[in-house]
Amino acid sequence: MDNSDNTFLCHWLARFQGLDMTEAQVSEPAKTAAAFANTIGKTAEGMAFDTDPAAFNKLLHDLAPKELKSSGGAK
Amino acid sequence: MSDQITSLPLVEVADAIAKRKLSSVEVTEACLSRMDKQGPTLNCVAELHADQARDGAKKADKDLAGGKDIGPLHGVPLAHKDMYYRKGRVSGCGSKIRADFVPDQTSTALARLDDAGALDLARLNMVEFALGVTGHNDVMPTPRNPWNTEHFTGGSSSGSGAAVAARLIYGALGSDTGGSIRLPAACCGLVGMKPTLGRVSRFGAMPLSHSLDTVGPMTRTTKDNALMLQTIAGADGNDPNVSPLPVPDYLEEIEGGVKGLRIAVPNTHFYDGIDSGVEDLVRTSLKVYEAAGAEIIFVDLPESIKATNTMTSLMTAVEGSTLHYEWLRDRYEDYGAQTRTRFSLGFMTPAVRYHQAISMRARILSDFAAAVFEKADVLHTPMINMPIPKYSPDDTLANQNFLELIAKIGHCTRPINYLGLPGLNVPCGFTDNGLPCSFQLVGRPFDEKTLYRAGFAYERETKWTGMAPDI
Repeated sequence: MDNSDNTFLCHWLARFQGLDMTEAQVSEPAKTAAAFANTIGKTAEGMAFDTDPAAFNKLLHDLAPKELKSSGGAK
Repeated sequence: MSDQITSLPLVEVADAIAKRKLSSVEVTEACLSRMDKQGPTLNCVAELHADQARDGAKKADKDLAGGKDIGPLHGVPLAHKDMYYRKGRVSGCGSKIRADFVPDQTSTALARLDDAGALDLARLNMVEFALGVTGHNDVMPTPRNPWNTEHFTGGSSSGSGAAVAARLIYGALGSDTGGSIRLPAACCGLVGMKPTLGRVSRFGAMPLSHSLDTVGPMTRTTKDNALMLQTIAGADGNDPNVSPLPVPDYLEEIEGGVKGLRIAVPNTHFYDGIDSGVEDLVRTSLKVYEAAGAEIIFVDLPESIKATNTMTSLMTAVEGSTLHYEWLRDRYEDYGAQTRTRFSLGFMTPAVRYHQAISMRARILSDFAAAVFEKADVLHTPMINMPIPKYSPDDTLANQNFLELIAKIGHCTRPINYLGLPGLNVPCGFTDNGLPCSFQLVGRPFDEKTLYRAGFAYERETKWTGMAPDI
C-alpha cells in the first residue's frame, strides 16, 4: 500500500471505526490485512448461498466418537 | 531429596501424597525452594503465593490425616497462566493495562482444580493478552526456556512452559487460540493438550477469540496431562459453549497401546519448509509407532487447509480488536508493538472477509475429516517446522519479517484451532541446537482419549518425556 492508500485508510478508520490512527500506525497492519483479505476471498470463492456458521458446531458433534454420543448425559 | 520430589511426575506425587508416603507440606516446600532458586533466572513467576500455598498444604495433610474424602490432585502444587481469574486476586494477563485488575469471579478451570485438591502456588507470566507464539513480552517480563535461556519458550503460555519444564511445579493451565499451549510445550519439552473447542469451560478465563479459545493442561507426561484434563473438562452452567457430551475416563485405557491404530501422515501442508533435522526426528517417531503395531497411512489434505493459518490469524485479530477496542483507542502506547499491530489488523479487515472465514469452517472441517478420519484414527504432523530459535532484538519489532516468522511458527498449530480439533504435543527428541523437538497428534472432535493412548504408547517406547533440563 502506498502513502495515499494509508491516508485514505486513516480517514476511513476515523469515520467508520471512530479511531484516530496515524499513517505510521496503520502501515504494517494494513499490508497484512490486505493480504489476509485476498487469501480468504479466494478460498471463499463459490461458497454455498445456504451456508450457516452454526453448522460448524453441529459437525464437531456429528464427528465425535459414537460411544460418547450413545452414553448420553453430561459429566 | 528436594529435587527428587520435584522431579516426580504429577500422578506419582499425587499418589504419594494420597498414600501418605510424602506430605503435601514436604512437596510444597520442595517446589517453593526450587522456585526460589530457579524462578528469577527463568522469569516465569508473576506473583508467588507462598503463604497461601503453605496454609493449603498444611490443611491438605490435616484433612488426609482426618480421613476426609480427597480429590485426585489432593495437596499437589500447580500454578497457572496469569489469565485464569480468581476472585479477589490480581490477574494481570501479561499486560500493563490489566496489571491491577482484580476479578470478582473465579474461573471454572481453577475452581475444578481447587475441588480436586490442587494447590495454586503462583500466577505465571505470559505473552501480553495471550497474543503471541514466541513467548516474547514487550511490556512485562519474558520467561526464559530452561533448556537454554537464550531460546524461545514459545507462547503464549510461556511461563507455564518454563515453570513445568524446570520442575518448579507439576502442571499448569495454558490457553490455546492459535498454538499457545502446544508451542510452549514443544519449545520446553512438555506434553500439551489443546482440547476440542467446547470441551473445557472458558468461564473466568481472559478472552482473546471466542471462536478459537481453548483451555488445556501442560505437563511433563501424558498421564499427568490426562489427569488434569479429566479434572477440568465437561459441561458448565456458566459457559453455554461447553459441549454436553460426557467426559470419558482418559486414564482408563491409556496403556492400551497402538496395535491396529491407523495413523495418518499428511502429504501436504504440514511439512512445508521443514528443517531436515526436525523432519528426521518427526519421521523417526512414525517408525516407533509402526514397530508398536500402528498402521501408517499417507493422506492428501484438501487444498483449503493452506488458508486456515490465515483465517485463524484474521479471526483472532477481529475478535481480539473488538474486545480491546477502547483500550487500543485510548491507551495505544500501553501495548507492546507487536500486540497493538496485530490487534489493529482487525480494524482494517472487511466484515465480509471475517464472516467468510467463520462461515467456511464447516465445509473445510468436513473436507478435512473426509480426507483423514475416514481412513485413520489420528493425524500425525510436525509441531514446529524449525529448530527452536533464539530470542533476538528483532523480537520487539512488528515488521513484516517478524510477522512472517510468527506465521511460520504457527504453521502446524493454527489449522487445528480453525478446525476446532484436539491436538496433543508429544516430545520426540532434540535438534542440533540442544532444544526439544515434538510432533503433534490430532484427533476427531472430543476424542482426546485416543490421543492420550497414542501419546502414552510413544512415551513408553522412548526416553524423551522424562528428560529434564540441567538447570
